[in-house]
Amino acid sequence: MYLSGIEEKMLNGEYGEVIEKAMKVIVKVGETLGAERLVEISHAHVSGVSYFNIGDEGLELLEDLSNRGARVLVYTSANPYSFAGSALYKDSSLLEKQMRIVKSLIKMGVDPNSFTCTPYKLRKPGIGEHLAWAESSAVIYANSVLGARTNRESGLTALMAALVGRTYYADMHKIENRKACEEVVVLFDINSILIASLLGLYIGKVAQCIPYIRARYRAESELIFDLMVRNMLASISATSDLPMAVLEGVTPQHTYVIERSEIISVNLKELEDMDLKCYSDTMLIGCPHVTLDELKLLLMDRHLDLLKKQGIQRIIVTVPKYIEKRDNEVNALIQRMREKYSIEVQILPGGCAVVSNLRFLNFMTIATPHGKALHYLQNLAGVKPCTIHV
Amino acid sequence: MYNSCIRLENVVTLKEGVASGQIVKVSTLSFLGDVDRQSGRIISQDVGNYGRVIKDAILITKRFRGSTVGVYVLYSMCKRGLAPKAILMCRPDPVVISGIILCDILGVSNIPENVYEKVPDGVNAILKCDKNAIELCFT
Repeated sequence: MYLSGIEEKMLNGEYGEVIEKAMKVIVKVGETLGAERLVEISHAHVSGVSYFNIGDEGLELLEDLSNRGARVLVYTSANPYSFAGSALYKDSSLLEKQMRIVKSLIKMGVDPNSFTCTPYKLRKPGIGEHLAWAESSAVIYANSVLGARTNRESGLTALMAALVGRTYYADMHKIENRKACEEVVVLFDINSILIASLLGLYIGKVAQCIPYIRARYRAESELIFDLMVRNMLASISATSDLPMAVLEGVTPQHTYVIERSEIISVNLKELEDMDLKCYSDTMLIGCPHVTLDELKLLLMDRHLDLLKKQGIQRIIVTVPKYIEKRDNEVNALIQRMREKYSIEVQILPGGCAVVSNLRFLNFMTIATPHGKALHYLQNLAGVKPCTIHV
Repeated sequence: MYNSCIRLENVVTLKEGVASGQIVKVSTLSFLGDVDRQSGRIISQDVGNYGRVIKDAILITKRFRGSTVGVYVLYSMCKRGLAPKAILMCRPDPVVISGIILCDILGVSNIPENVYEKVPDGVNAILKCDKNAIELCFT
């Protein structure tokens, strides 16, 4: 692989042991993927923040890096943490360990206001920008909606890329690899988050390469449209390794090439297998995270009447960390829900349900319209997911 | 396929070396969500080999999927002696490749899909990795 003078110095240890190790990992992964050089990045996004997922070994690795002076060279955001960080568990060691992970990341220079799986809401990358993002749902959104360029980095390579300000120039960074080669024709209107999610889970299972998706979206506003697209893409990335999908009329032109061959038609009947029909009085919203404005739209009166009819008594909402600065609005929303609908709303800034052990919190079932949560809740959080129409 | 070998040129090997273990075949896998990190057991029913433990195995997968946190799960399994001896994949996956590098185990990508189909599941095997070539012998 060709390396510039400064990159050679990084690799040879002239900038210290941490940079040397980070560079070695990036170069090795790049060589394996056929990269001929590295590319400078403007934004890294790291995953692997939940103590339940990375365990003591991951915690020690991050603490070791931060104690040895690891510091990011570019703007870096991080994924949300588990509910242990919101002090929801009786076991105080869980809170302590979760916060040690968060502190290590902040010490390395991660934006303390990030802790979200939707980093594009905090800093929106432009078309053609080179990124090193982990978090599969954010990667696919960045490539498919924003026209930015990022591979589906692992949680650790994204961190290593942040430390050296570069990643390997391969796959999604090169236009010729951003090639749609299967056409997916959706034979029904995408008119809800749930339908978008189930469709995404299905496409992820059947698509063998980047799909070109032709679909009609029926959304009452731009915000709802974005939520539907975000959930469809997040669902595709849960059931596949796809870092990108080309969405007709959405994906910016000149950020992809087309080599269509097979056509896959999808009708509503094909989504039935993924529709997990069961009942829960608790609903999860925010997988991927929703903003406060999106949440207000989802909790409008006519939607709440429907949720009430379906027996929802409690709603858990996960939002980006920075939303805790809008305390007054959050409290007003919670109070209105309690007084008008007798629904308890719990809003958790910086939190993520699927990376939290929900069985420990005495949940057995959770209703959600989010495909990513439907895919992961059972095996990761230990609760049975049920679909709910939102 | 028993007592026979497959030799493949033009694959990508992450390092040279030899490993032996039982073949565990799964069509698709995410280390986060499809594998229990405490026991190394496969806990998703839709990937193949449900309930099998991947510790010390030669894991062969057509395609990885899902979470980018898989690297940490693999790393933490390595630290606790629960990782496979080697991971072979048809489609290269940056998440798993970085985990293999951190674990310093054998890894091979670009295995042709017809070879994946031919490899017998559950048998003991010896994997020898050279530079961009491997030999996989079944015993």
